[in-house]
Amino acid sequence: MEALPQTLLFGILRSGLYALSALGLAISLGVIGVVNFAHGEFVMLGAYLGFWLYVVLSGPLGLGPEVSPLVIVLGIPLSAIVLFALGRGIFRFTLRPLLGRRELDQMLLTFGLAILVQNLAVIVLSPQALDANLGWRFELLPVGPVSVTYARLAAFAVSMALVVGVYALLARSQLGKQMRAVAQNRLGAQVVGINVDRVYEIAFGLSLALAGAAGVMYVFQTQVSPFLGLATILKAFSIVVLAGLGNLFGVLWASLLLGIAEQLVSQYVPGGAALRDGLFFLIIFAVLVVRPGGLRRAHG
Amino acid sequence: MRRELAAWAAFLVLVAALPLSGIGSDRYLMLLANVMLMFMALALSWDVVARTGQLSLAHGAFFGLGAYTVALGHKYAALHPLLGLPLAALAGALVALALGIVTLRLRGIYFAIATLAFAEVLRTVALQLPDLTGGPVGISMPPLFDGDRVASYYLAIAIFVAALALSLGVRHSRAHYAVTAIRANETVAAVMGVNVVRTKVLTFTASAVVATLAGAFYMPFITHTDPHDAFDISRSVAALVFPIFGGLYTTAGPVLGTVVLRAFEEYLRVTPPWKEGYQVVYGAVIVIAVLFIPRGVLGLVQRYAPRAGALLGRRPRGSVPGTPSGPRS
Amino acid sequence: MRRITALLVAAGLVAGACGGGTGPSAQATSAAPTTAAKPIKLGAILPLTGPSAATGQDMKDGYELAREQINAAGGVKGAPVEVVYEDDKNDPATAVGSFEKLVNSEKVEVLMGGLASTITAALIEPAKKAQVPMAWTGAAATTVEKGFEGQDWFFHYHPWEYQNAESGLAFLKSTPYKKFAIAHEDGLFGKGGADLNKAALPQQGQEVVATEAFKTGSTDFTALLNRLKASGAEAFLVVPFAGDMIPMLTQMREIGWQPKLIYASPPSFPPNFGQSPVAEGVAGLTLWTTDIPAEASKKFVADFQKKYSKPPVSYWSALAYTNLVTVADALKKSGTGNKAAWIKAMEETNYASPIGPTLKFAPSQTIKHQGFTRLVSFQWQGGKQQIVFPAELATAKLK
Repeated sequence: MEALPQTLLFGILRSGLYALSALGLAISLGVIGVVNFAHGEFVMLGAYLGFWLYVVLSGPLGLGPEVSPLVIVLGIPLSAIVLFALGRGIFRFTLRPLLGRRELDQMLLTFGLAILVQNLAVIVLSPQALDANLGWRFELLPVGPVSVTYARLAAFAVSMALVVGVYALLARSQLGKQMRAVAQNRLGAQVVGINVDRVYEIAFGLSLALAGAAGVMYVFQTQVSPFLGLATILKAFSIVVLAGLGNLFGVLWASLLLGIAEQLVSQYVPGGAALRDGLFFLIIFAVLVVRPGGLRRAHG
Repeated sequence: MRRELAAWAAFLVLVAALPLSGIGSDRYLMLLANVMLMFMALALSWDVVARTGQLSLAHGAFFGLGAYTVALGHKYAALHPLLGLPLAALAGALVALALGIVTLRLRGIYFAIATLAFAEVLRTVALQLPDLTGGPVGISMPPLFDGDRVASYYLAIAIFVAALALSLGVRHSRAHYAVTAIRANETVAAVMGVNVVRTKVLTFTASAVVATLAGAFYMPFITHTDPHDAFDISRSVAALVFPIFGGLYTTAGPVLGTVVLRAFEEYLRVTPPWKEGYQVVYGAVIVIAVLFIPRGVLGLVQRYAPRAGALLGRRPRGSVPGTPSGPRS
Repeated sequence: MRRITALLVAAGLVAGACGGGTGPSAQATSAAPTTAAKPIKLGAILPLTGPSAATGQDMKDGYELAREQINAAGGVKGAPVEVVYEDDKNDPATAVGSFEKLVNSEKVEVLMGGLASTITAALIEPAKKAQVPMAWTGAAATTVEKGFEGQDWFFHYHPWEYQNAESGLAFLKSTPYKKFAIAHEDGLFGKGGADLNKAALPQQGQEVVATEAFKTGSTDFTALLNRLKASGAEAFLVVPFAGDMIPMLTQMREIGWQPKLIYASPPSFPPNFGQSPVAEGVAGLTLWTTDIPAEASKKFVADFQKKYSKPPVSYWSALAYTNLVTVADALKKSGTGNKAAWIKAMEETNYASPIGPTLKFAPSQTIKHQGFTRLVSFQWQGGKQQIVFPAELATAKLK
């Protein structure tokens, strides 16, 4: 059982990144009611932005691979800003016209966007996967009985900070309260005088900004390729479903749960590493069947 | 209704006559025609489930199930593919019944995710049982009708007819009112006396059986598949894109959508300068179609050529376009 | 409606036929010397879109380089060579469609190309029916080889998986390590490689103490790496895809596992892998690297760099290059339209290929015309790929 502490630790650390990418999805789903199939593609775009930042910093600016912390510090705001603007634009021109229509249409639209963005990336950026040789990625820090890379810790810390930050925004700020109000009851929110349209637009922008931030963190974890979106979307969906539609605060717990469960299954179930995704879905499936609303009741 | 049936009969005659036009000897075009019919059946089957307001992402998995059932039937019982078809249908029905009952209480995105999860589980099973299914190596069987594309074409027509029968049958029976009511509001439908459970489960099962048959056709046609190919998510995607593009909740819509998009896709695949960018265009087409032609191509036809639209099976007065979007109110 | 639909079906089929008819000739690219002779049409089926697009494009680059050079030197007896590329989208049904198109509509002389085993497997039946000469670069699965048994018009370039394994096993035998752990991606490629090693290692006195499967692209391998570490293995054999390499190596460090030998055989390594700190000491198996000490190889790399301003992405470009050159050479001897003569000419192939060894076709376990049979083992030392096995091609010793 000596692997247990490490398994748990890695599960917790991984859940940070999952929470960040799922939160964006949860916001667009919870506040606006839009199923954004293209969410993973925006994570991918954020990853590319982070990668280019790394290339520019370490190459022409000659700062070498030690730029890792800089990539995070600069990359996240950069990615968030760019994707926020992109999100608002996409919302205005494609989603807003669809808001009164059937869910199927919205899902199809975002799905079409996903195909469009992914394949544009393949053409414009090349399908070759890229690795950022960030020195920091490979340096180890001993944590009790195990060692973890700085990259893994940073991904967790930064993701958590962002998630907590967004939660604070939702709980405390005017905008956050408006978003929660709209998530609970659109008509009621309008009656109270909230500019629902503006809230939607900002929420969608925020959703994409979070995706972009998550993307920058991925630069430390894995190769950057136009197909990154596929890998992230299914897990994000599962977390959101598990937490329950509209339950933004539940995303954190759901991510932790799934992150740890995933690691436990990989470690202790025979053949777990390969079965992991299938088992993942089986668990989701089972939860849905038993509790169709997700783990927690939706609340504001 | 009689006019609509007559129209479809005429269409079938045209389709059946296709090989006689000289295309029959062009193996490439015949391949396209075979695959086109297969996708038409898949699209029609998906549309039927959509009529109850549900987005199924499992149809690709049923397709794969059909393919593997026929392949395994051949491997273990030397079953001829024609006998494999009813076996596949049975397997599809049983699995769909179970899945349908289990997911009864799920709606919207939850149902979609559950069906997606199911698809992934099926794929994992096929992959992780190499002694039974061949695992990642995949599974092979001899070609259908020894590679005669015209003979297989007629089998594909038969499966297409089954799909047509399902689609038209639901439309022109009391089931139509049941599914439409369920789609609008399940609770109210139940209050109105619709047997929601039975309707949902039966439509899902029947739809899945057709999807399974499409897969059962695919296996001997392509002679080789593996879990990655058989349970490819892109088939579930195709199953939904074609009806949505063509026009949901109709019979002509899925057929039209399949023909236009598949032909377009193939055209783009081979034509410069799109050759390497056709998927981008495909994505853009979907986005534009959803934004500007929400009722699908069929909607366009009905708007600008109403007499042609009338022949397509008109929608009942005051029909419900679909469930309201989002979780609010 | 059926009128409209029937019209659309017809339109669609006609569009497909037109696309097939006019398209390819339009994009069989330029650079043909002015000659009145009718161009010689060859076909190539590649994955130009989809997950293998990068490799497919690399292959196309190799073909184009070869085509340019052949035509600049006068083509095939004065006639320019034209290659019709078909994108199989990594989908079996599309590949079969491409096959039909190239063989029946374009009526190509020889069919080239090929990457994935599954795609090739779907082509077995149509190929047997058409009996068109095939000079095929791809597929390594033994099941595919069995499918082509007795089909003498089929010439295969890439080593089969058991030949890959043999090359690897020979290298492993030359090392002093006795206990092996294996990790493999759970698809056809990974499992095939792993199974072969599992069966053969004990026969050469080496033990497999643990085996783990993983899903490629999952980025998190710590659980299975922990189990492998606990097995007490001295050497680690891994059969992944490119994207798994760096996460896996990084995580090995995280859990503190440093086996004495890490032997990886992905189809290709990530670009710039050698510069990564985790690459040091990693050994691998490959058909070819840009550093192979062979004249033809150096020339190929230089020409490639000159034409495309970048180095070859993987060995597939060199393989494609070899493919076209040998097919054209055989056509020079046999002329067009004469299958038996072409087969005979191909059998006489004796080509100093950029891959390194001289290419000659000889029988393999099941088929008659197998080209390359051996892979080389290399190790990253100081950022450079050094060939460490077999000894006659080695540029450095294993560390």
